[in-house]
Parts: sequence; C-alpha cells; structure tokens
Amino acid sequence: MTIIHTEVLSAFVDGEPVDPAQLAAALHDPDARAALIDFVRFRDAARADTEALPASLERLRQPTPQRRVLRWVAAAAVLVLMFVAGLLTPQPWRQNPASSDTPPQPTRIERFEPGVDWHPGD
Amino acid sequence: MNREQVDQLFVRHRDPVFRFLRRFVRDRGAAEDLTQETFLRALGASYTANGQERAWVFQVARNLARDHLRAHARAPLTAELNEHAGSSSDASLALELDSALATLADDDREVFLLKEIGGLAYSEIAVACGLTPDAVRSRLHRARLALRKQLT
Repeated sequence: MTIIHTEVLSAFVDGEPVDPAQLAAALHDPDARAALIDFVRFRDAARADTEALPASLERLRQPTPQRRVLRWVAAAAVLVLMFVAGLLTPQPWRQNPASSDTPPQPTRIERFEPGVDWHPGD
Repeated sequence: MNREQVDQLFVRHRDPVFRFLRRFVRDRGAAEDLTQETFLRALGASYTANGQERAWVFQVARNLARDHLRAHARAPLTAELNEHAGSSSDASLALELDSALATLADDDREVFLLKEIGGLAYSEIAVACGLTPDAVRSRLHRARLALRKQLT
C-alpha cells in the first residue's frame, strides 16, 4: 500500500475528481482497497447519529445586544457621569479675580475722614 | 440579511451545523448555543448567496467553535455523544471513532467532521477553513489514516 493510493481513494470516496490511472492503480492494491472500506466505515460511524434536534433549535432565537454595543453603551454612560460630576463639583477657579470681570468683594473696609484722620498739609 | 432570510438559512442548515459543532466542541449545550449564534451572526450581514452559502455558514460555525475551544478548558469526551447511535455495532464503532477523533489535532478533526458530518465539498471546506482544496485533501487523508491506525 502506498500513501498515494490511499490518498487517491480518500478523494474518490469523497466524490472529488481523481486521475483515472491513479485510481486504477490504487484499486489494484489490496491494502489500499482495505483502506477504502475502512474510510466508508468511518463515514457510516460518523453519521450514525439518530438523535433528534434539541428543542432549543426549533426556531432561531431573538438576537441579544452584541457585546460591542454593550461596550459602547457603557462608555457613553461613563462619559455622561463624568460630565454630570463635573457640573456638580465646586469650581473655585471660576472665582479667580484674574479671570473675572468684576472686582472681588473687600474683606475689610478702612475709612479716613478728612480733618480727623488726616489734615491737609500733614 | 434580514430576519426572514436568516430564518430560512437556519432551517436549511441547523441540523448539520449542530451535529458538526457537537462533535467538534464535545459539549451539547455549547453546541446548541453556538448553533444559534452562528445564524444570528448572519443578521445584518452583507453576505449574498453566490453558491457558497453552506461554506459561509460553516465558516462562521467553525470560527465560533474555535473561539469556544480557546476560551474553555476542554471537557473529556462523554458518552452522551453516542447515546443515540444506531445499531449496536454502529454504536460501538461510533464510540471508538469519537474516542479516536478526540486524539486528532483540531485542524484534522474539523476537516474530517466538515466532510463527514457537514457533507461539504473540498472547495467548501477550503472556504470555511481558509485552506486550499489540495490542503483539504491532504488533511482529510491524514486524518483518515490516523483514525485507521487507531481503529483497525
């Protein structure tokens, strides 16, 4: 038996095109013929499955959201949360005098009365 | 593909796809889920039938099965696979065949199952597995010789 013979018979049993001369040579080889019988037996054994289809496969189920979609939804949710948290967080830099159009409120007021606290010519 | 087209695809191919997946992943529950997932992947897909419909379906099934096997530790082969075999001699050989198949490399086992369970032609298996038809021929032959070595 040669490997070429069994390969030709393997393709032949599958209904694939084979070279007629190679097929004739393979069929003259008793060992290759025995291999051919085994190939057919393997096929029968592989298909010896009479189990009915499971009930879960009677119909195609409705699609569930894909993981990719769920990931996008999760990412969008995180962005929204970050935005909301940013709005609610105190923002002291907004009261920075350098960035404001109005002057800051005084923390202490000193008043000077002319003639009392100071005199012209002093 | 719209829902109606996918439903028709499901009815045409669910049986061989399930049986292929069950033997390939060796887990009935997973095979049921993967069969559903195979066809749900077709929803919204831009695939249009061009004579390779069966190869396309099995390509999806095969890729899902590969992902499943990578993600899950492989369970030992269980007798459930052959509870429903035919006659007693067939059942015995079917059991032995499953045991022998479990020892094959995934590459060889999937090609064998796509041929024997799926009934795909070499050109279809080539599409499903990303191989050339010659490579399919060679792998199938190698798988059969390996099985023969164990079973005879």
